[in-house]
Amino acid sequence: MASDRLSGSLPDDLRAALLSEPPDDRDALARVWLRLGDAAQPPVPAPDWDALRARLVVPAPAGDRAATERVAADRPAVRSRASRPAWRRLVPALASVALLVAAAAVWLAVPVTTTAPVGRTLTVALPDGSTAVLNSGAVLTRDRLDRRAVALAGEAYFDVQPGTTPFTVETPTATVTVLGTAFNVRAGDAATRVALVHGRVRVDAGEATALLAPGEAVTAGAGAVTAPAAADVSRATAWQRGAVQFDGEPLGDVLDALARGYGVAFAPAPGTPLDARVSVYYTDRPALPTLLGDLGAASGVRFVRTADGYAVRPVAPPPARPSV
Amino acid sequence: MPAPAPDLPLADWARRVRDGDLAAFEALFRALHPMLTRHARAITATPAEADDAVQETFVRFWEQRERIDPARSVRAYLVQAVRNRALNTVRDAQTRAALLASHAQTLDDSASARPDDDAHGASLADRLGAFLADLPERQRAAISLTRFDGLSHVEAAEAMGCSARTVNNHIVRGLRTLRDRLQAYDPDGF
Repeated sequence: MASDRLSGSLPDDLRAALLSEPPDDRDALARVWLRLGDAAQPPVPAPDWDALRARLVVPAPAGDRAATERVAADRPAVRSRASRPAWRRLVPALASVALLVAAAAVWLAVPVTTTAPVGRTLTVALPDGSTAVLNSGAVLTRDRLDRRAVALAGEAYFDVQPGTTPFTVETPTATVTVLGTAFNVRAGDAATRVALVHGRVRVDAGEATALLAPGEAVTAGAGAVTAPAAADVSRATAWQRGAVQFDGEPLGDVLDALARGYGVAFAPAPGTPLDARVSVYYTDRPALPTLLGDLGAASGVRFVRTADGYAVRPVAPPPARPSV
Repeated sequence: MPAPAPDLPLADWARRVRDGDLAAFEALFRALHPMLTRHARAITATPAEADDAVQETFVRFWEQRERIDPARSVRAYLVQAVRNRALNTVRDAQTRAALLASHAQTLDDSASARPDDDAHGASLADRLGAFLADLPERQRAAISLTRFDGLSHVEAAEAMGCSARTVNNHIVRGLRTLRDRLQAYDPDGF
């Protein structure tokens, strides 16, 4: 019987499996099975033992002599039982490298902060070649990874090196974006005053945005930007020559700026008109009591010396309208 | 056609590998690498993914050698491990492809290569190989493992994570398809 002859050359497992098939099928399927012996096997690359071996961790040889000899033959390097495997000798080195990498990462992640000392300005050279002149008490923070981004609290004058990536100044209330320009930023907690000397800048606060032309200034805050208006830009930057000036700015921000500039604290009492707009200008840095006397008269507040600064009180009754 | 080499001292190698014998590990690797590579390559989209799966499997096997059970078929164990890795590669690739909304297109592309076209005018050996490659994955695996690689049906079942009965079903179904295709190609030969 052909069927018997065929099935006799099959593995037992398969013969058993085919028993449940109809006899005709059994025969044909057995023939297919046998002919499969001729099937071409797809070629595969030769085993790459060296590549695999390079990835294996082989422990120091144990007491077994045969195993010791085999491993020794496999490794040309001189090894004794006391010596540690190569990867373990590398552990301290790898640990140091990892530590250095971690330290570098931390170092890179920590921003650089520069603070101008009270009563002085400070010129900061930025890594992209731009310069920032910080007014007294201003705090400039820059990211080590981004050469064209800084954050500012207080006042600074920027002379930005032209470049393909925009230079940005982040303030509590606005973002100033420039391509290569000189401009002044005074960043208070409530408002940011930007005056442009030359070039072009954009000021964004929330959804609002304004594009400044040279000689213009805007005030940004609370998600709004005033329309660019002609401003005395030389005054806006006069602080670099010792001048003190505020141009229609909220009293609260003026107090912030003075707190930075003179290194004193102000404690406004409830009812103090912190929104009142104030303009004052001094060509030379005045003594603080002089300045506060004028400021109080202009904004309807009184400054009372305290142990650690000044209390600010509204002149009772609070003025019905902001005085300038 | 490489011989199934039933007389390889696989169990002995497995025992020695468990004891940290690198030479036995190398012998095992050299003996089983071609077979495992073929199985992996039948599953993955690219040969490189398959080769990686095989190497990863051997690295893991060495790392976890203390857990080797010499009473079990090391061949079935390795085939299973390689298959799982290769299938994971495919699954991951399909997940990615689906995310890129090109899933259907990819499958169409791979399925459209009919081995018939390639096999036309080719030798019987090439044609058989092509027909085999065209089988559903589990039928192809069941036939290859038992026909070419010398695994028993029980070992193949272990390698494929199913019962020996299911292996039988895969083999018989695969043989039927092959018979039909051989007949369609060469009615006189069958």
